[in-house]
Amino acid sequence: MLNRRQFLQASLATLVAGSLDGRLAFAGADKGPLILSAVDDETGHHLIAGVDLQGRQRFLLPVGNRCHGGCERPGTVQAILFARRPGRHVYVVDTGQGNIVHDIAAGDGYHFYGHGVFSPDSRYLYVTVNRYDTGEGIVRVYDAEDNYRAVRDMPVGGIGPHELVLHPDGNTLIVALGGIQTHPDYDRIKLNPDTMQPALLLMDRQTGGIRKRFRPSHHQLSCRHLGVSPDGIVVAGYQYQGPTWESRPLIAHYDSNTDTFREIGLPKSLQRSLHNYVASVAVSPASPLSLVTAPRGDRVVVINHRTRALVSDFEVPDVAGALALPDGSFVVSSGTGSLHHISADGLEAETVATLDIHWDNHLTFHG
Amino acid sequence: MSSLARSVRYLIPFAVSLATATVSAATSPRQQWHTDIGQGYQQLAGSAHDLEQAANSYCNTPSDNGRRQLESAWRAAFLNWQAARFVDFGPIEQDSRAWQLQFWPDHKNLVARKVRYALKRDKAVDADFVSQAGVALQGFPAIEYLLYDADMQSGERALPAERTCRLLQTVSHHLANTTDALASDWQAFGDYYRSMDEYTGKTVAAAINGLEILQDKRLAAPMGVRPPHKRNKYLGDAWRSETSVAAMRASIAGFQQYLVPGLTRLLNEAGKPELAGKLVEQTDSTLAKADSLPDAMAPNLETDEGYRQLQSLFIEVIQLEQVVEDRIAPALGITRGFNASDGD
Repeated sequence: MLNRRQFLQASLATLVAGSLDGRLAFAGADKGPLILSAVDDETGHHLIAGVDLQGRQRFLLPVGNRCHGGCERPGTVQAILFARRPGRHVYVVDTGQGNIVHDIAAGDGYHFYGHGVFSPDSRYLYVTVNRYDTGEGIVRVYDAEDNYRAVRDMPVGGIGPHELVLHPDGNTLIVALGGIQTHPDYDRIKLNPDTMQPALLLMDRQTGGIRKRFRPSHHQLSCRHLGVSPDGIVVAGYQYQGPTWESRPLIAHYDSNTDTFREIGLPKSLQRSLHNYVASVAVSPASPLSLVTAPRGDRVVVINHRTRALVSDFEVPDVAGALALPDGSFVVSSGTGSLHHISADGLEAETVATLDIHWDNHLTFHG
Repeated sequence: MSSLARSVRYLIPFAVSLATATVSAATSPRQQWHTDIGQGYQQLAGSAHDLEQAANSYCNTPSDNGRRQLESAWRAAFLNWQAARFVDFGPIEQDSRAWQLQFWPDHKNLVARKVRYALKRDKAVDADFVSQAGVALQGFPAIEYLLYDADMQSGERALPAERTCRLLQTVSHHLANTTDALASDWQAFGDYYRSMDEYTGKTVAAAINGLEILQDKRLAAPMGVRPPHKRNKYLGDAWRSETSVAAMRASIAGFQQYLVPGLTRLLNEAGKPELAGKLVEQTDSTLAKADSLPDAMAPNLETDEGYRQLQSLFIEVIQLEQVVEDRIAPALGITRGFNASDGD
């Protein structure tokens, strides 16, 4: 892991390189930590990018579909990128070779939502899936040790499971349930704005049992993305489907130690400036800070998830991807091509690199 | 030509926002846009009510004259929608209203499937059924199917058959409600729209997106501009009623009527009167070209001369889009975004 000074020095070098030839610089054979993301190039082609922490390219893999979220397969060279809703593919990337080693198909009648997470032993991959004839949301389990064979479908009892993470207890899946019904026949059109039932769910990954179900304060607050701290505090981001001119809280907070579900409101003008839409949530593994991105408001918001207090906010045009690094600092990405580093105290932001690509919604870390 | 993989949102930097904020509310570009677009929505709602009324009159007392009035009411309301169709923010985003009004593109022929199913099933065709049936049955294309689809006109279910009439009236009623809600929500949206500087960029972005869709999906696709260069009228919108080109003309006229005055104001305030002049001139020229073409696209796809006419319309639309995207947007400091409007 680079310290902050090295990181910024390297960043400066990348900036210079980036501005000289306008293309991705190459990191060579260096095998350090990696950031993966779905990206589009200038001509609209969909790719999976792997870059080092300075934004230098390790690999750039063309894929047939626009991708969305991803996850690391801990302790292995693999990382997973998921095709974007209503995607039918999950790509298993060998980060060492820089190639795609599996392409998992959703199968007839199903599509993926774009997120997944591994069991602590890296064997089982849990993926959010839509069975679209019934609209039933599912967490599907794949066995990575058996060639990514699908072994089980666990219904979530609702529509639109989106991002999911694993609780530090190693057994509980925390699932953001968006509540929005879609059907591939209708592309991405929202079919049930009046009857949405979004939730934050706790699911037992062994039994599939739903242990808890928390409802947002309004039925059109679609719960989509989330993260969890090592001490069991969950931060989730909403996307409000109601009138543009209304302003509602967009950050949910669940403390599993006290079993308390709350929402975090922000000062009025900041709240309004997020335009009812949170793209990514990153929860620090090393500090009490969490970060959310709001591309429609060009804004990054940092909170203290222990005290639920606002720490800072930054303007970053078209910001969406967010990542918490092991040292407690953060990286965010923009559709304009820039990568930014946010210091571990949440108070300083610096541009790391600017590339000729559009970073898509999420960033994935591979250590 | 720009790639159209997705719609994009434009971001307006702070400096430009400040410049526009100093203008008094009564004459600001956003005030102008709010008034103009509001007028467009009012006209749409009014004509949708006329359509509902024409459907009721025709179904109560069918006649050739009533049928003509019904068709012209559909056409008037549909073209009013085309004029305001570029607005992709605010109340139109609620409840998938844009899709409710016009489910398109319809690669799976869902409109036809939904209408046929509605006519075949045993249960009543009522308001509940239509609001549950999904967007393919709720708007202009479903009524267009009833009025113009060739198979539909020859079968026993052709209008004014009772069940078909009931469907026509129920969908027309739904459409009138949707456009009513749109027009009144637009008024409720006014204070917010005027107070948020970001909407200047979003409004210009909506116009550029609208022109890109016009150029790429409504024109280039049926013309077979891209490989494999196959002409296919079914890729355009409103082919059943043979109003594909009329619809584009209405969209360009709507751009002229609802977008250009506010944008001209913005450019003049920013000290760019020459760009304002260029905008007006290119809009006139593009509209004049569209005016010179017949309403339907299909006949022009079949002859070399007709195809040349479509090509010159295509070039005119590109030129208009380029004036806004390549000259006006950069001059106002509006830059292209990626995640803002098309996230997940």
